[in-house]
Amino acid sequence: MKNIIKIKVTGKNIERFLRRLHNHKIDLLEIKYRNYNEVIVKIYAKDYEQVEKLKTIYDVQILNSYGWLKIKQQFFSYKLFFFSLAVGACILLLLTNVITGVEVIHSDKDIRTLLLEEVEEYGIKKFHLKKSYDQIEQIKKDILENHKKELEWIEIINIGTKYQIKVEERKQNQKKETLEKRNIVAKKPAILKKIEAKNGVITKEINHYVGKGDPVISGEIYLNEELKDITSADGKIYGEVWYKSSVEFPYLYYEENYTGKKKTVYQIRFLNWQFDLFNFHPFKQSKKKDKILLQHSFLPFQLVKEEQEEVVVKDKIYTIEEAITEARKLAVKKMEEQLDKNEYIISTKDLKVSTKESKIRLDVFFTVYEDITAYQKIDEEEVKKRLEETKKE
Amino acid sequence: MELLGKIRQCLLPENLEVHLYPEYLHIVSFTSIGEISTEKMIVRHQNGMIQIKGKNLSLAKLLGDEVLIKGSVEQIEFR
Repeated sequence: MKNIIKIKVTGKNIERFLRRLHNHKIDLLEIKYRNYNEVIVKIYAKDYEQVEKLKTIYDVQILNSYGWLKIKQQFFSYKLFFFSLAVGACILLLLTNVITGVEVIHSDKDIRTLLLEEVEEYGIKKFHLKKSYDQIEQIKKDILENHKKELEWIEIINIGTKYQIKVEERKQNQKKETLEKRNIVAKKPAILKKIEAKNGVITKEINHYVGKGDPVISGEIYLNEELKDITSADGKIYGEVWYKSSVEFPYLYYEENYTGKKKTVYQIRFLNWQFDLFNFHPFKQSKKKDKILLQHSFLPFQLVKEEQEEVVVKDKIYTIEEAITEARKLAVKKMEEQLDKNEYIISTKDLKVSTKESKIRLDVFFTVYEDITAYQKIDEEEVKKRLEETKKE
Repeated sequence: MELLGKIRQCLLPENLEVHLYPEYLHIVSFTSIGEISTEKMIVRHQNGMIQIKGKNLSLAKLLGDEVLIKGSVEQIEFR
C-alpha cells in the first residue's frame, strides 16, 4: 500500500506548475480543478518533498493522506482511545480468567473440605488464574489417584469465573455381619402397616394390632409343626403409632437467625453521620462489632473497622389464632425432625389449648407411620426345650 | 517470442495510443505537454504532436507517459 497525499495548489497559471511537476517525474494521480487558480492533486507522499522544492510562487497545502500514512496518523490521533481499549481488553481478559469462587457439590462436609483443600493445592482457589482443559483433566486424575478409597468419580466444571466440583463418593462394600439367630419384633405398640421380609416367616397380618415385643417376622422355620431351622430374620416393619405432644408458643415472638454471611466494613463517622467505604451490598440486618482505627482528640471524627454478621430477625406479636397455627407448625416440625425419610405423619389433632402467662400451650395428637423394627435374639436351647415340652404334651 | 512481445506491448505500451471515451481522452506514450487551456491542449510525442480542441478541457491525471484529459473533446489533430 503506497502512501498518497492530497494537496491543494493555489497560484496563477497552475497548468505551468503541473507541467513542471510532470517534467520532474512526479506522478499526478488525480487532478481536480476548483477554479482557475486552485487545484486539488493527489501525489505519492514520497514526492511531496520535491513538490515543496518546486513550488516557488505557488502555495501548496496538504489536505489529506491515504494508505499507511493515514492509518498511522489516525492511530496517533486516537492513541489514548487505543491505549484505553488495549488496557480494557487486558483487564477484561484478566477478569474473565480469574477464579472468583470454588464450590463442591456434595452433602458430606468432610468430602467438601477434602476436595476444597485438594484443588487448592493445585491452584484452583479464589483470585487465581483459571486452568486449561488439559490441566483440569490432569488435576482430576491426580485427585482420584490420591483418594482411591474415598472418591469414585470427580468432575470440575467451569461456570463463568467459578469452578463447580461434582463428586461421587466411593461406597465400600460393608462386610456382611454374621447375623445372630433372631426374630423381628415390634418396637412399640402399633397397627401394622407394612412388612418387608427378606428372611424369616411373617407371623402377623397387615392392619393388625401388635404390642411391644410381639414377633412379626420369626426366625424359627416350622414345617408341619416341626422345627426345621432357626435363622436370622431380616426385614423391616412399619406401623401406625401414636404420640401426644405439647408445645408452647409465645404471643410475642422474637428470633434471630444467622445466615452465616460475614464481612468487614470500613466506616467513616462524623457526629451522628456514618458512611460505609466500598460496602456496595449492605446487609439489611446485621450484628456488628466495632474497632476504632483512627480518631481525633477534638474533632468528632472516627475511622472504624466494623465486623458485620448478617442476621434475619423475626419480631412479631401474634393473635391467639396465629399463635395456635404457629404452635401447630412447630409441633409438626419437631415431630418431623424425629422421623426418617420413609416415615411420615398420617394425621394431627389439636387436643387442648391453654394460655399460660404470655404463652399458649397446645397439646397435639399425632398418628405417625413409623419404622417399628426391633430385634429379639433367639435362644436355641430354650426353643429346643420348648419343642420337647410340646411333644411330651 | 511474438506472443511475449504482444503481452509486453499490452502491459507496457511503447507506441502512442489514444483512447477516446465520453468526457475523457486517454493518451499513452506521450513525451510532454505543450499548451494547456480549457479549449485547447497540445500533447507532444516522439513523432510529433496531438492537438486537442474542445470545451472545458482539463488535466485529470498525469502519470509518467500517460495523461488523462477531461472535457468535451471536439477535435483531435495529429501533426
